[in-house]
Amino acid sequence: MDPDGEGDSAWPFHARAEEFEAVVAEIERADVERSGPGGVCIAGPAGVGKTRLLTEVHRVTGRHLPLIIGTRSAALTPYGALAPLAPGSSLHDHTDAASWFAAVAAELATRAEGRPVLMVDDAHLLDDLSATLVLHLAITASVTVVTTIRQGEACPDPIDALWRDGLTRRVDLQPFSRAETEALITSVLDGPVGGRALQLLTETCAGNALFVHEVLIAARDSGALRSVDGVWRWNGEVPHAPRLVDAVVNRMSGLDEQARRAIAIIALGEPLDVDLATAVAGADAVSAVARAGLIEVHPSERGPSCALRHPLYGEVMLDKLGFIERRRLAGELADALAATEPDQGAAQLLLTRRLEAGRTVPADELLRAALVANDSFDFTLGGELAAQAITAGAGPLADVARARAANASGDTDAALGILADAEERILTTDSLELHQRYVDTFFNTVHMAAGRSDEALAMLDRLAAAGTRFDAAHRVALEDLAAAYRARILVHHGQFDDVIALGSGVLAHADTPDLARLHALQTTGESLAYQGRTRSARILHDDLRRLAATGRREVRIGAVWAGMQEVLCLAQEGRMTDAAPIVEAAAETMRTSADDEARGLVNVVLRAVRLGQGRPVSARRSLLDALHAYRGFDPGGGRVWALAMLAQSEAMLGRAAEARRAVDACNRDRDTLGGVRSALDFALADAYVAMVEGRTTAAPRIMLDALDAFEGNVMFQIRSMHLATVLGADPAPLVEPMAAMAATTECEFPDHCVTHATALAEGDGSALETVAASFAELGLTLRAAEIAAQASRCFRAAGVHAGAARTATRSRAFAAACEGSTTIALADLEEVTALSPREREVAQLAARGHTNRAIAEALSVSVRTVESHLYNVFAKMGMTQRAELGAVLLGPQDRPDH
Amino acid sequence: MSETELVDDLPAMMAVALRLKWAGHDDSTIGTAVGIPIEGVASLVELAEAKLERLRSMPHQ
Repeated sequence: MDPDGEGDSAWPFHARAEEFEAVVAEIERADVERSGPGGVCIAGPAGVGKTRLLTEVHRVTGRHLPLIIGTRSAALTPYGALAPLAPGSSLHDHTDAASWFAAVAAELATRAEGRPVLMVDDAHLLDDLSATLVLHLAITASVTVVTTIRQGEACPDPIDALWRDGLTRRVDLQPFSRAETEALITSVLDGPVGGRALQLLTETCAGNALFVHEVLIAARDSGALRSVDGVWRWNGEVPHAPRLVDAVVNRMSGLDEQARRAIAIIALGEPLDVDLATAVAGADAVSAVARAGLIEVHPSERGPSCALRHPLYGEVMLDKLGFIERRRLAGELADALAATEPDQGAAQLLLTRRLEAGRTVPADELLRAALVANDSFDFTLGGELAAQAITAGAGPLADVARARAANASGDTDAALGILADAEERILTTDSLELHQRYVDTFFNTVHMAAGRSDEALAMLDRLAAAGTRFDAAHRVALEDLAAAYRARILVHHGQFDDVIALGSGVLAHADTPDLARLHALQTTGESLAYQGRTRSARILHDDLRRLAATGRREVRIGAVWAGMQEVLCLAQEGRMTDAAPIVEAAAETMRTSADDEARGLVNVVLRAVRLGQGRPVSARRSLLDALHAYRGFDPGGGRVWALAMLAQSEAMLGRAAEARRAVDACNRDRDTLGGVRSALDFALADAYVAMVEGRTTAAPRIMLDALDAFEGNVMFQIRSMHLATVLGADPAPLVEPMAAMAATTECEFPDHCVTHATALAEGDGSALETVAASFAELGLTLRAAEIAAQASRCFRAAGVHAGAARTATRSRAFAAACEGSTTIALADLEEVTALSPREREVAQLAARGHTNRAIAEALSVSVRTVESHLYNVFAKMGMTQRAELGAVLLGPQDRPDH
Repeated sequence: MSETELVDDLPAMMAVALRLKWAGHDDSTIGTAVGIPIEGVASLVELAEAKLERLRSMPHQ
């Protein structure tokens, strides 16, 4: 990235093609018509790219006139900005303005062959006489006028008249869309940008090209934005570099002190009730800010609320206020809020502003605020509020809140200490809410973050035993909680039968706590999926969705889990085509989530689907995002899982050193942090790394050696044996055990695997060709390519040359959609020489649905020649129908019906 | 990608202007909604349609 290295000319002219064409078209129209006035007024807020557009238009159509720039200093002198246009005669040689204007027009006419184009940047800053001259030149059609004006700023009346009276066309430049902003950032940074970084940068800049420019420079210079492993990462900090501050302050030029104070107040409270904002900041000040386009108003249940149109406005204004003034404003806002009947969000705001203003807040309010902050994933605030609540004398729930915040912020040791100190007080307190929050926090800290499942199980025993101190309902609730969390540990270790038994017990209780029901549904559904009982699992997904639909805090995440469990089922069924849109939609939804755990999980699942589709490049990008998300918080071994999959991606791309580095990093922690979900990927990572390192006989053996670790996990065992056959294992001894396991499942995919192994064992090319088509239909494109390659070898061994050529071609077509994947099965696929280059060209056009005549025209040959080529293709490939061409020659993305 | 999704990919105010235009609202209403003078509405809608056309012609996965 070097946006400041060569001035603005180095900055890409981006996403303004339509605006550029509109302006140029208007200039050309005026040039052709000649008789009447013409031109364009480009309007928009500061930083939106008006000058960049005008500069580009001037570069292309400037017609030898200099670009005029309006400035405040030039405006102090009459005609100051227009001095470059002055004719040889002096202003003082003319007795009236009309004579002077005519002289200027005559002078300009000599400078261009066609009608001159006068371009004025920041025309709102012209002095009145210059503005009048520009208007005169436009009215008399002496020039075509193109101006830029800043929206919301006072403008000389003659300049406004240009567009208001129809002399020039007004084009209001809009901030970039999200996609345009992302594309600009990606084009400026010389390398891929992490998804989270891209999203945060895009939100921060809010479509303002100038802010993109300044934020990227400031963030890069401060180190907040840096390239990690070849991918740009941003820690979210916006360094208030002088250029960035100037850019923001410049946006607020023309506002008085009261209006600037209004911006600060809105920044402290946004989204802030409009009535409240006007009460605290004054109606005139808020109106002035609105007129300047600095805030936007949204309807809400409690009436309209306002928020700053750009996050940088508030950050810069608050920074410039200083501590004392900021504290005073926070106090004013808190007093105004206290006079209302605040809802939960407003109450949270009230409390934080009270604290900021140095006021005293009762312990129970601090505790509630800490819980709300944690539930909103603001763990920094949650930890601070919880600590203050403890100091103020809140009960043990404050300790739990503080421990949760500490663990989620990566300080697991501190969380463990807090929980150990507080447990006795917690288990003797008669509060089910306290016990639910405690067991959840303890589990996430001790089992998920620290990987100490024995300690977690011991705590669950203590929790269940504590139930004897309370009434029967409370006792049963604690037993259910203990059972549900015990199931989460057992599912981690692959003890699916035990999980299903525990889950069934919990779900049998109609009054079981929400958290217990949530985890019982999740763990039972997951266990059924790994057993291949996907039909039964889906019944539980529906229950999970219904539970999430209640909207209760503890169970809202159930909607995400239900989606991921559906993807898990689809993955066990090999249905990647169906899984992809679900997980892509979830990933899009989670892009803006502050829930690092859920976002990381979705990214990991997205990667799994990408790898299943045979798309290692796409998977690698998603994986790097997941690894970045897990840097702050890594419950449940998500990081080691992502590393295992990264190793696979690198190996599939033939990058042995990178694959080795990833698998080594994974292996350092996988024994302590890995679990059932990642077990197959650990084995696959080892096998793929062996493959890319040339240890081809070790690769299938690794998959078979892993079988013991998958005991009870029917689908992993079947998939592991199947992958072994793809990697080169002898399929014959694997057919029977795979078939026996497949019979216990509720899905078809295991049968496809058995059919594949059987065909391979029997050297049946035709059966393998059919299996390849089945895998392709499911979306397992790389696997389809590998099986088609196996079919080709079987055909060749049997002397069926047409079949060998056909399936080899088909394998290549599938592999072409797999982003450069190279695997053992594909590596030694023999070159297909059956088709000449011309025959292949004709056949591919026919496969895409073109008629013989269209092909003949496209290739400048006769129809008879096309027919001759196709005849040869059918003969060589052993085909009889044109419809078969698509299946053989085209990848899934290329088919006409795709 | 559906037409609705394509419109969502436009700059926010262009998307608003286009939807209002399609719904039959006049330039005055559109200008008020997107915060620009009525004289700029025709250009805004034209630009939105041009950008939408470009999005339609782009390959989407």
